[in-house]
Amino acid sequence: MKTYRLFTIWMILFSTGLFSCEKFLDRPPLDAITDGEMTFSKTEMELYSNKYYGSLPSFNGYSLGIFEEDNSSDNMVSGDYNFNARLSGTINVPGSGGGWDWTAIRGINFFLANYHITKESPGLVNPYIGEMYFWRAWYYYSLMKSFGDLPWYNMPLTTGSEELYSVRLSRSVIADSIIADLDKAAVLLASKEVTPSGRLHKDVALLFQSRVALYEGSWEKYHAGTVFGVEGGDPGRFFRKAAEAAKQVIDRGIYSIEPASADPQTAYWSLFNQKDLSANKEVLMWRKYDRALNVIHYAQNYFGGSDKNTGLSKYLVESYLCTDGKPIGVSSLYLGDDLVEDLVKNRDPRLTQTMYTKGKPRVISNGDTSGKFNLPDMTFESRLRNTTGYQLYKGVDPAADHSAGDINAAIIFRYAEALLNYAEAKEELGECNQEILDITVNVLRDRVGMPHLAESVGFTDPAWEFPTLTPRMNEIRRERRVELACEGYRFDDLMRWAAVSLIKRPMLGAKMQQFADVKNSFQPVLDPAAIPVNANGYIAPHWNSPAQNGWQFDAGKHYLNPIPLNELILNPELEQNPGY
Amino acid sequence: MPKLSSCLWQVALFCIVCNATAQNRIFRGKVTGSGKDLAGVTVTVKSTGAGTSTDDTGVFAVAAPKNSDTLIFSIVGYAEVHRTATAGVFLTVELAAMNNAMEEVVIVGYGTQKRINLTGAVAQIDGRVLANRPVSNIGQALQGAIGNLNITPSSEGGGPGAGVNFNIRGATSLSSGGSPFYIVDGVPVEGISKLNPADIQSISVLKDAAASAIYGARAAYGVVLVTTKTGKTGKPVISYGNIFGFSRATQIPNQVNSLEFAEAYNIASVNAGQSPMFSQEHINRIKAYMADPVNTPSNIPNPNNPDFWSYATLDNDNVDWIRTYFKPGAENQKHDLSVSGGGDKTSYYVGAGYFKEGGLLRYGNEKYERINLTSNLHFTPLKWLRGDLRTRFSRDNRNVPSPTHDGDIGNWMHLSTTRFPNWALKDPNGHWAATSNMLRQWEGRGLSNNNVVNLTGAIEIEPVKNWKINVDYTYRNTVFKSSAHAKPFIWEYTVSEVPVMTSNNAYSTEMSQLNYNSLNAYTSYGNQLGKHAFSALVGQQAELSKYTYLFGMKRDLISQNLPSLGVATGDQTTNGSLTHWANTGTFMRVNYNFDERYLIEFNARYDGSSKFPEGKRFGFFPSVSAGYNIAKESFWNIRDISQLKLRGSYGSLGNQDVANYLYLSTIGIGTKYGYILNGVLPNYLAAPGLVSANLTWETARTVDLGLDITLLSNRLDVSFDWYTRTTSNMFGPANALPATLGANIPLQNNADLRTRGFELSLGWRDHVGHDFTYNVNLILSDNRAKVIRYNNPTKILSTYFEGYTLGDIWGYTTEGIMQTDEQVSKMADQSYFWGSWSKGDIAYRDLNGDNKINNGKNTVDDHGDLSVIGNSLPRYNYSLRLDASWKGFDLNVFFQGVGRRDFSPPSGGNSGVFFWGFTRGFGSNMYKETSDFWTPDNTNAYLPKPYNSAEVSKNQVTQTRYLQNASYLRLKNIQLGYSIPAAVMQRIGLQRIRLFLSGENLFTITPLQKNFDPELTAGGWGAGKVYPLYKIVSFGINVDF
Repeated sequence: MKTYRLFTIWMILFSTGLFSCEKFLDRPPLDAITDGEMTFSKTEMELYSNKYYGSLPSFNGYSLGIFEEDNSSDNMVSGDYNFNARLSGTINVPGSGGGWDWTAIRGINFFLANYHITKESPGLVNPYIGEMYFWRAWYYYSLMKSFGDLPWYNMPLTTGSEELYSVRLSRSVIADSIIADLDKAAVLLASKEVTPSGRLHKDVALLFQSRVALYEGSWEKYHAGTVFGVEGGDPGRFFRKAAEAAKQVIDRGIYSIEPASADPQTAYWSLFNQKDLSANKEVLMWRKYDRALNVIHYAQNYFGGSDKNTGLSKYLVESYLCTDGKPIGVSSLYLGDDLVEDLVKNRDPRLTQTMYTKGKPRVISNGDTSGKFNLPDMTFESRLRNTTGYQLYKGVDPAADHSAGDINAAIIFRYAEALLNYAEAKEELGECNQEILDITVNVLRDRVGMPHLAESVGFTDPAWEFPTLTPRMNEIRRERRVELACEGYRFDDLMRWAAVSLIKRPMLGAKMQQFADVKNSFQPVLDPAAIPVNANGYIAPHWNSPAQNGWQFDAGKHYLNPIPLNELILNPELEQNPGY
Repeated sequence: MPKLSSCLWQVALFCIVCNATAQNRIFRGKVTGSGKDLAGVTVTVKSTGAGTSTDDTGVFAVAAPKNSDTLIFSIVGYAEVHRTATAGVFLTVELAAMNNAMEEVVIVGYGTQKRINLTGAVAQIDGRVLANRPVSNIGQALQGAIGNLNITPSSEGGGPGAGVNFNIRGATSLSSGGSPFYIVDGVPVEGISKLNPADIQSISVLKDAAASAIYGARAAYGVVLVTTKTGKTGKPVISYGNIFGFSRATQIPNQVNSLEFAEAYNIASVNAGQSPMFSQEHINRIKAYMADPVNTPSNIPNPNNPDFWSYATLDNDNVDWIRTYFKPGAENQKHDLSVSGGGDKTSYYVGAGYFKEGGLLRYGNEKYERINLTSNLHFTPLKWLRGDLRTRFSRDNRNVPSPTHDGDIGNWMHLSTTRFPNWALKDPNGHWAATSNMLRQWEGRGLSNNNVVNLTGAIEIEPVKNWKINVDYTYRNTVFKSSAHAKPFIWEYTVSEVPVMTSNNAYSTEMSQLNYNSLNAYTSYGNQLGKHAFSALVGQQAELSKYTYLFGMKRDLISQNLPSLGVATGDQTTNGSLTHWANTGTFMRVNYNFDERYLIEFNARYDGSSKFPEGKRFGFFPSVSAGYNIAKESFWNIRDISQLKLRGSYGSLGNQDVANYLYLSTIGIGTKYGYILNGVLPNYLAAPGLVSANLTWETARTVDLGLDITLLSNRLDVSFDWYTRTTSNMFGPANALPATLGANIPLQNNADLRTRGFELSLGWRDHVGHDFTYNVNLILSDNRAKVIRYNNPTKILSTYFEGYTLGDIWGYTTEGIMQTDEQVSKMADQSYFWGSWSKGDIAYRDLNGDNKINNGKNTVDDHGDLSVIGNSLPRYNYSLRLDASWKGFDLNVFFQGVGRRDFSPPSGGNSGVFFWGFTRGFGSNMYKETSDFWTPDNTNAYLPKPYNSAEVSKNQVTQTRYLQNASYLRLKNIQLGYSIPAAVMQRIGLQRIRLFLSGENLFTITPLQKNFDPELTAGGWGAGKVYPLYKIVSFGINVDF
């Protein structure tokens, strides 16, 4: 009897266990929503867009931000001749990776394919939808610059999607799609005045659109007839779009090239080391840093303290006009480069606001301004050395507090680019005239007190970088180089202009002779043997490298990146870029 | 202590003297066993310890001082017998054959089994093997103890409270953990590292599917079953043991001095087309400092900011950074106390343990402490009712330098490799230099502790003889707490000795709680009818686990002496998470044997897991095993082979060891994204990933064939198992898909892996004469795994492919270092790696004859000049244990090793510094072991020409010349003990005193490059950049009251 009762109890225990299983095993997530639960409320949309802001160029950790990107160009010379493996011609086809990254595109497409279910009023959420269109354009532009033709995706793919095996569409089609996304973004985004600080707004979309269109237009024009040419290319269409978009920004009337300081000798330089740019009329968009929120960087630990294995190139320094508005090869004001003090005399004031010169403040410590620049840091270890004798001054904040982390703002989009894009696009279209120069190039020159560029130019520079182009085009491009120097624009410009001859020149710095008399003033003392010099006495940072006589850039190959090997095998429809 | 022991010695000596003077009587007799006369039986007089052995006819004679005394009869293979003998009376003694180790009872899932009747692959070791080892973690003591229970140091290496990784029988699954399932006293646990080895009675390892199938869902890759000690009926036994140990690092790389470094660095810079970094002036300063470090400043002011010392550039100090951060020795100690005993209705075991281990950081106090309390109470209130209450508590504390600093520095080994020898340790004024980071060793603290309370109540009802009903319930609460204080400290002093503080000033704390519930209910019946023995078991288990995590951080502490959220006033961050999972299972077992000769067993489990979507949750996992004990047959007449058993098993098991919710596409919510928008750090949503909605179990099928032999009068035991485990429907990436997918490729059940291996164990036990007994155990195991199905149609080498043997290293074949310009001009086209080549660089062999060195299409069919040059997984794990005792002395020697393993040193970044020295830029360094590089003056060098740029990687690709043999033989433990003779103990009223000396990791034989410990070639911060393992010398005492 006892046995029987125990057995019954046992059976009850046993069966309860069995029948309640399925429910017992239902354990959905407790602290995460699933894709099906996204309602695309205003908050969800805002939060979804936020993570893409990190891809905008800015200061991070010890990097100099945009101020070191021109190492990938003829503006700055890294001590590592292989700083950019495409320029140096040493790039290899990678197995995987290599920038062929579509993660962001997929995340954005998930949003764009699903946001329609939102129940919010359009007025409330349109800016965030606009942001997402901007981001797709942003990432696609970066892929297009890198790889050229691409597949176009406007849906999030799954493992079974046939589109994984799509062919690459002509870059012209991709550029049209990017421009179309930016058209939508410009419509949906709010104007700068009503947009929360730091977020994307309408004018950013327009300025970026002019950048994309100008890039594609010039690419199609200057690569025409080469392996990189676009079949049925129509550069004019893109130049018109570039001009149109830039003009819209100009016509907004809220932006201006406003000197932050009335002194033309510092007006330009003082734009780049501000902590707060919210009231600045030139900056369309910038990134804020804040010690209280622990969002800081350490760029100033290099800036002013030493250099970062880089230096301005001889070519950049030589491209600055003299104060009479004429190039150094023409102007009687030019004093030659035997002495650095002479070199900078009578030059476009932007030169001495981009390059350190004697007596400029290095560090302001506890109000003590005695730390002055004397000589470039050519004798430091390779990570911290100046490579050319011309040391970067743009971006330096002598008052930065080196012990607590830096909070200098990072400029992301500025008005000067809109002016330069507009002038260049108009010149490409053959529609440039004095009126256009006066609202673009000459506005920039006014800030630093330089004479205006005339429609007729008025001189012939034997050293024009693009002798086959019009004098006016050469001068517009010079203005772009000078105004935007060391801000990361030059690599893209070299690529779109197909400027192979500029890339292949051996990279040089100052004349070593400039330092002969003062070599004992260096700290530590200069060991002249440690500084490589070419046959003409110019510092040649790449002298001991395979780039002694110039980079091995191959114009039949290195204008684009290689597509990773694995991808070509996984998708047989993909074709490798020329030359690889 | 020395005083007591010398006193004991005097007592012992006194006794011997006494005995020698006494008058002797003679005891005679004859010993038989198994129906025949037994020769060679040891006969010992209990009171004096005098002894003899029986002759061929089993007859003995022995002398003793008293008229009547107790004689002890012992021989291998028979139970020891104590008899009272009277002088002059002929004594006849029959010994009962004690079969051998095969008679031992082995713990298996939900029950026990006699070893002789085992049909699955089960190995068991006694807790004594683990005792008296000065290790923080039971896993370190288990290493090598059981064949194919593979234990390796964790990626953090050694250090206070370091962990280990467990694996049974090699590669398991390509994408999920594949670690064994741990059971303590019948209840699943997350791990066993927190157990006190002194509380452990035995450890069983269930290796094949037949043995593990009863645990179904979570036991696909074997089970480690731990049984803790219980009380025995009889007089209470109080035991105390301690160990005091002194540790050193097993190996420390030797950094070169500043001058050697500067010269080498300049060579590498010039090779890379750069200017030499160290100017002549700088080198002169280094020389001056080395000649007179006391009177020469270690650094110069920063030329551009002369108020500060130059930082990490122009310094001319001379520092061996590893030896500066780490000191030679640390201490540890361990104390264990237990009381056990029992009466008619209750028995008890109560144990307490304390372990404390220090670290090797020179100035940073590091401490790991563990406290264990165990109480096992057993009640038998009624004849048919039994109950158990098992309580286990452990608490461990870790007190280390603040992890907020570790976040900056990685680990101290990594930090030391990123300091050049010329960087200043102290500035010329004698303050710690900014480059030293030394204050991080003591400014701020990281505290953590882990409390585990495990309560199990169990009842067993036996309503009818042999029918048992068992129900047990376990609640376990695991609480983890940690805190980190980012304390601002003096980063450096200016030249005029003004302190400069760091800015990070915050306190963070985190807490997690794991609540685990398990209910088991099962019933069993077993009986023996004549020669037929059978038993059956059926039951049900349900498990539920809930996890809560909380994190809080606040900046700007008003007081640095009270690090807490309360005194912080600044920006704050909070975070948390919640997860849960559940399992249910119904299990059964039937076994039958005839005369212990023919054995068969069937196990099965039907399991459900919450980790999979509805409809995919349940799996059925059956197994069958059989054994044939040939030596039990009547025709068996080989006397020397007393056991010969063949075993075979086949079964399948499930693996649910994947993250929760993989079948759902979740959107993570992040807070405080580090980009200020609208004045604040915004929250953000992560993009949803791809999921496989159909995710379900992996199935692991194992075939196991085993052979157990006992021979040579039970002196030699041989056990051999061969197995093949096929993991099918394994969680593998959906495919090698184009990157245009834009997401991580989700898990699917679409790959198969086959692991094959064997375990061999040989045990020999014997005695020489009557005082010296010894045994030798040799264990050898091996396994290899091959991918047999994988969705990689192009067979691209960048992921798994069918036919890939796990661990295979694809690399290039080295032709040699090019010594002449002619060799350079004749080398194959190596532009795939780099554009320019010269003397001192590596020439690779053109295996496919196309005069180009590359990886072809990087597929199995077209792999260019790549080939399989080695395998990174360990082969032929072996161990040798030697135990010997002579009179009161005992000696244990334990060697462990790996017979074969290849290690391909990584290149690039700072991960390869210990092998190559110069990798590129930051992270490069130079050691004695990496100094033999090619220069025009040292053409016979081992390493190629160094570069101080990315160019260095062209010579550092995976290749035959630099493939390292990472096999090793290590003396894991040696222990010498002395037990005070029983006679002495009786007089002082104690049962036992044993004193011992022990050594861990005392020596290692390995052909591996000497910067690496062969057990620590990996490391999250780069190869070998981990906390060193310990070499420990310790002594201790065991006392039974």
